[in-house]
Parts: sequence; structure tokens; C-alpha cells
Amino acid sequence: MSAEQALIVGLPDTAANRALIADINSAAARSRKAEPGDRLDIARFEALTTRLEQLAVNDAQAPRIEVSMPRPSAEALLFGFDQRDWSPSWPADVRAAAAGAVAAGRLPVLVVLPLTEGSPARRGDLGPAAAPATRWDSDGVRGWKAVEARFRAQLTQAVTAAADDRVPISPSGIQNSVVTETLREFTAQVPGCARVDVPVEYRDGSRSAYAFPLRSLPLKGQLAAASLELRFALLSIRHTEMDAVVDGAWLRNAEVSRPRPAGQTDDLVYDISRVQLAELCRGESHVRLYLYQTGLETAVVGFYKALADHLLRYPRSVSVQPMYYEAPRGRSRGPVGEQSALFRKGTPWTV
Amino acid sequence: MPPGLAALAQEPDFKFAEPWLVRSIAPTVDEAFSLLGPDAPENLLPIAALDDESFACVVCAPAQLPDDAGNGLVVRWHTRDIAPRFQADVIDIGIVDYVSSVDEELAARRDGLRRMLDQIGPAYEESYLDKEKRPRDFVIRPVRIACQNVIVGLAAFAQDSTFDGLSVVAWQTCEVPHVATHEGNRALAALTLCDAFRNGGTMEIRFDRDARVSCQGRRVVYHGHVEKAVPASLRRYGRTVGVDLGAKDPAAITPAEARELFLAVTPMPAELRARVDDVMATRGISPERICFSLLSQIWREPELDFLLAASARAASILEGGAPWTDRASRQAESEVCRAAVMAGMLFRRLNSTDAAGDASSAVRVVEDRSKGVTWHVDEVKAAITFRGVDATAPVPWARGTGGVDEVTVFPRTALTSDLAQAVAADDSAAFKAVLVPADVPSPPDLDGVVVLRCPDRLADIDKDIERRLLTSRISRG
Repeated sequence: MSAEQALIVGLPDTAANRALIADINSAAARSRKAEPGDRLDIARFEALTTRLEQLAVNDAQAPRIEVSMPRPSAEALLFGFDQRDWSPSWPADVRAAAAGAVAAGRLPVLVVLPLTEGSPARRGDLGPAAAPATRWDSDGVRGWKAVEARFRAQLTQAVTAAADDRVPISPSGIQNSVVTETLREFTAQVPGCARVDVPVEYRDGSRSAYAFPLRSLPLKGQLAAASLELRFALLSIRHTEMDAVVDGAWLRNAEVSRPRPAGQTDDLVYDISRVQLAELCRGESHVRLYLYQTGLETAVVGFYKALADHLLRYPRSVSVQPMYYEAPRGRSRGPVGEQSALFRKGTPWTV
Repeated sequence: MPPGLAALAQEPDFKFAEPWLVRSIAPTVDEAFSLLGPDAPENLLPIAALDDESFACVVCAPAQLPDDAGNGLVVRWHTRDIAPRFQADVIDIGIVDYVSSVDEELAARRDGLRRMLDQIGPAYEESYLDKEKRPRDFVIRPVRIACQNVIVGLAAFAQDSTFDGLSVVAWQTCEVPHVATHEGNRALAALTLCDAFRNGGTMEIRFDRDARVSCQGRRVVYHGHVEKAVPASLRRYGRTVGVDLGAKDPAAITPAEARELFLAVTPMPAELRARVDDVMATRGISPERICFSLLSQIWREPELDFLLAASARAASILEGGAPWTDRASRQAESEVCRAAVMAGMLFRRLNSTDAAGDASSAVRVVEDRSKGVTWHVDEVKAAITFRGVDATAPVPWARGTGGVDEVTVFPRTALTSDLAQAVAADDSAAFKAVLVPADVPSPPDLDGVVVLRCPDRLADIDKDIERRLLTSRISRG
């Protein structure tokens, strides 16, 4: 494979170039604030940076210094004169070359030329591909019981394995009632057993930034008296049958159901839920939520992860009664007033 | 009777097959021979009609060559004129396997067809097509593959959480005169495997799990595929490509078998296949992701070959690319992707014989019109050479330059003097050129290097790449 070359190019300090860099920094700031999966500002940022980099590559007169190729990093941006805006992850020689360009009154631009003739410094060798997945054998159990058994086996493995051998749990494709009930069972404290934070990974390979705190809460079976009682659909515009019985929707479908890696959706739901739980519980002695759930597992896991972390920080501030939708048998559906009969109660999450 | 067949007829298993064989196409063996026509090799014994214009034939070794390599294979002999490369394609590796698998297949065909055409298809139409609703992965979805309006494959499957894999309740194919041997099996297997990959499970595919559909208020329950096992036609195809399906569990394609089958059904030129083998062994890229990228055409064959050959970042690109905040990585990946996209675009232009602009032809034919151009990627120079180019036509985007049958291009997004010098100094005997987007500025000192400008601007190419990377990120799960 070909080699990669990195250069710091000093572009002339013109009003047009400064304006371009200002636009890039603005686009970067907007991109950071964008919701996960929203690529609009990222596309704008990338279009602008490409323009700047193309200017640098095509300016034959601009001084250029070859620098070491930066290693992959979570944050690696270098735009403008102000060194405080440069990501700290840059190698020393990159920073020195960029600082040299600034001292010479030029705008430093990092240009990466990946298709340079030669052998690469790093071949990207990662060893062999992962072996084919292990089959799951349900031992003759069929239907939702097999699904539950598989998820339970994952959770059991997660709480019993040593920290180094712990593999993530994967709630993809599992009915929301099974996810909720099984997670609740494993979130409850077990005498003599320590809390276990287990990562959550979805079928698309994406992993949530927040681990699930298993064996962390002294959960009870009875709901406590509440100063505020609210009914929420987990997601708006999912099951209109819920509209007649809920006070509102916990999450907006338009925000949550977007094409993005599942782990990012989980994180988004977690972040929203932490904020909303804190807001709801402010000034209340105890809040009781009836949560009318739908089958988006990222939303379910993100919510209960947020609830568990909220309860760890503010015990007894809130309890949640899961409500599971059950499709009516046959084709006829009752009038709106009877719609609450379509839901059955799950095991409450309360301490 | 050919001498080889006489020896074959002595085998105990042959007795099971023999009565069925010849009677299906002719009253006697000699009459069966006459069906093949005068051009057929003498050592082919026709045993069954595959369709109106071809027969399944056993290769019988001449007596003087009892260990002949093809002895015992079952091949397909077309009775009409077809391209020689499609004649005598292997259908199965042995007569007994073939006959028993056809027996199983035909026994299940009627029930399978009724299931597909009378139940699953209408149920899907009623529940999803009529309501313009998109089904979730756990819903039984019918699939139909047709070539020139002739159906060659039907299947129905759904993701099943009970074993985190794909449950198949219908799967059947057929051979038709105008489609290459086993192409229905290959295409349907490719679709099935792509669905299994997209659903994100373990890639296990089972044929024995319960499933139900509702049609016109009636609920129909299936206890797996009609054959209750990996379908015989699929196993037969597997044998011809060296994959023993259902070996560990007769009712399932295990994740390991699925991986082998995925690689077998994904068309790749030999050079790309060797590169894929290498990156699987050394760079941690999963074969399933490579096959899915090719079959879903996220990256086409020359594009993927270029990515794997020229860049150490192929693994990250195939998974959807580096985060935007890592600009150095993102920049490098973008440049490699742009080069691959431009090379792919040029390949399609060189390989296409679409006569849209041909005034002498009244009908525009767009199927099967490739010229057979091949490519080779020079991984150190990050250049790609196209061979078999039409020398009578000008090289595309070269402003009239042409008359060559081999073109080497250096796809880049910047046209610098250094690059021009490097290309001019390149010792390749082929026609050499730099391939750039339409809007890249040219320096004055190009040293006589030819520049091919693809029709798309850099921003257009970047949009295309963003779409591909997004598809890679969200296609599984």
C-alpha cells in the first residue's frame, strides 16, 4: 500500500482565508452541538475544510514543512492563529511547524496526502478478522422465552465474569418488555455481590458511552406514595392508542428515530432522560411515572440506564411503572375510553 | 452406453438413481444420448431435463482414463448455441448427490410454491405494500428474484431473536435457459446472507423454526421450511463451490458456513479475492462486511480493490469512516475514497458499451453490455491500470487522446507539479494519466502529463462518499 505524508502549509494571511477559517470554526462549533446522527453541520464543516486544504495543496508558493503523521485521535483540529484552539493531541513537531507558520505571519493548515509513493509507516495490521459468531442454542425453548433466556444468559455472563473477561450485553431485537423486566431483575442489588457496570453494544457494532449499572439498586416491588404522578408514552407518534391515556411523550420520535448508529441513539436518550428526570424531580418529594413503552430497544435501554443512574444519585426521588402495549386480539378495537386495557403493568422500578 | 457409465452403474448407490434418471427424459439410454445433439462430447450421459433447452449430464470417463478429473461430475449441457464458457458448468459433484437432492427439491416444490404465492406473498401485500408500510426485520418478508421477467428464485425469511439469526420458511430456485447455471441459487443465497448481515445477528440461518403469517384474517403457522433442512438446491450449489452446508446441523447454516458461503457467492476477480484473503488474515476486516459492501454495491469491485490495496485505512472506511473531529484521519480517508470513486467511475465508462449515443442503432440495449475490461492496482504507486480497453475509441475525458488498450491512471484530487513529474517519470509502458475531479486547478508546468477530468466536481464526489459511509455505518443492526 502507498505511504501517507503530512505537511504543515503556511497559507497567506488574507481576509478571504481568515473568513474561511472563521467559517470552519463556526461550523465545528455547530457540529459539536448537533444531535447525534445530524450530519448537516458536519457536512458543512467538511466542505469548508476541504476548500481550505485544497487551497493549501494547490498553492505552490506557500511554504510547507513535512511533519509526522498524527495518530488517530478523538479530537484533532488545527485551524487558525490561536494555539489555544488547536487540539492538544497533535504531535510536538506538528505544533512546532504550525507555530512556525504563525510566527511567519501565515495561516497553518495541516494537509494529509495519503497516496504518496512508498511504503506506509503503519500498515494497519490488526491480526486476523474476528472468528464467526458463536451460535446460541436455546435448548428447545421457543418464542419469547428463548429470547429472554438468551438475554438472561448475556446478563448472567456479564455479572459473573471477571472484569477483564466481561463482554457487552446486546439488547438488539429483544421485545421491550423482556429487556425491561430482565434488566430490572439484574439491576437489583444482590447481598454480598458488588455493583457491575456492563457495557451495552448493539448489533450494528456501536457501543453506548454509558455502561449499565447492574446489581446497583435496592429495588422494591411496591410503589411509594407520590407527590406527582404522570403518564408518558416513551416515544411520540409511535402508538396513537397511547394518546388517550398519557399526559405526554417522554421522547420526541423525530429526534430519536433517525438513521444513526444505535449506540448514539442510546446515548441521546440517556442524556435527555437524565436532564428530564432531574427537572421533574426538582421540588417534588416523590414522582411516579407510568411509562407506556414501545419497542425501540435503544430508547428503552437508554431510559432505564438514565433512571438507574438517577436513582443512584437521588434515591427514592422517582419510581417508574412500565406499561407494556398488548395488541388487541382480532381486528376490532374498542373505543378510546377502553384503550388503557391494551396495556399491562410490568414490575416497578422503585427503591 | 459410454464405458465410464458402465463402471458407474456397478456402484450400489447408482441403482437408486438409475430408474428415475433416464425415464425422466427418454425411454432408453440411447435415446437419451440423442437428445444432446451432435456437438456434445461423447462422455456425457443426459439424466434429466433442467429446462426446455438444457440437460443435466453425468460426465463418464473413457475406459482408458478411469481416473479422469471430471469423472462423475454432473454438468449442464445446453442444446442451443451459447457462449462456450457457459457450456458444461458443474451442477453437482456426484450423480447420487444430484439425484437425491433433486428428488428432495421437487418433493417440496409444490408446497413451497403454494406457501409463497398463496400465503406469504398476499399476506405481505395486505399488511405492508397496500399500507405503504415498511416491515421490521422480524416480519416474514418475501423475496423474488427474476431475470428478464422469468422468476428464478423465491424465498421468505425473518430475523428470529430466539437464536439471533435468520429464520427461513421458504427458499426455492430453478434453472432457466437464459440464466447461467446455479445463478438463481447464488443470487438468492447472496440476498439471504445480506439480509442476515443487515439484521446484525450471528449470521446463523435456520430452516426449522416456527413462524406465522396472517392473511385475510386467517393465521397460518409454518414449522420451518418445507424440507425442514437446508434446502437441497442450496446444498447442491454449496457442493459446487466447495462449501458443505448443513454439515454440523442439517437444519441450519452455521455462522462459519455462512461466512464461507458469503465469500463463495460474492463475485470477485482473482486478484481482488487474493487481496480480500490477505486483509482478512492480517488487517482484521470481517469477510462478511467486505462481501456485503460488494453485493450491496456500497463499494464496487475496482473501488474496493483500490481501497484495500492503496490504503492502510480500509478497515475504518468500510466501517463508516473516522469521526469528523479527527480531521487528519478523515482527510486521509476522504482522499483515498475520492480516488477510489473516480477510478470506479472511469472503469464503468471504459467497460460500458452502452450505445445511447449510437445513431445507427434503433434500440438501446443496456443489459450485458460490458467490454470485459480488467484492472490491476499498483499498491505502492496508488495507481490503477485498466486492460482490454477499446483501442478504437478515445480514452474518456482525455480530450480526444486514444488508440490504446491499456490505461494507467493516478487518481488524485490535487494536480501538483510534483505529481506530474512522478507520473512523467513512471516507467509503465501503458498510457499514463492523472485522474482528477472536474474542478481541480491545473498548474502551468504539467510536463506533458495527460490529465483526465472526471465529470463530477470534488463536492459532488464528497457527497457520494458521505452517502456510502453513512450506509456503511447504519447498514447493520
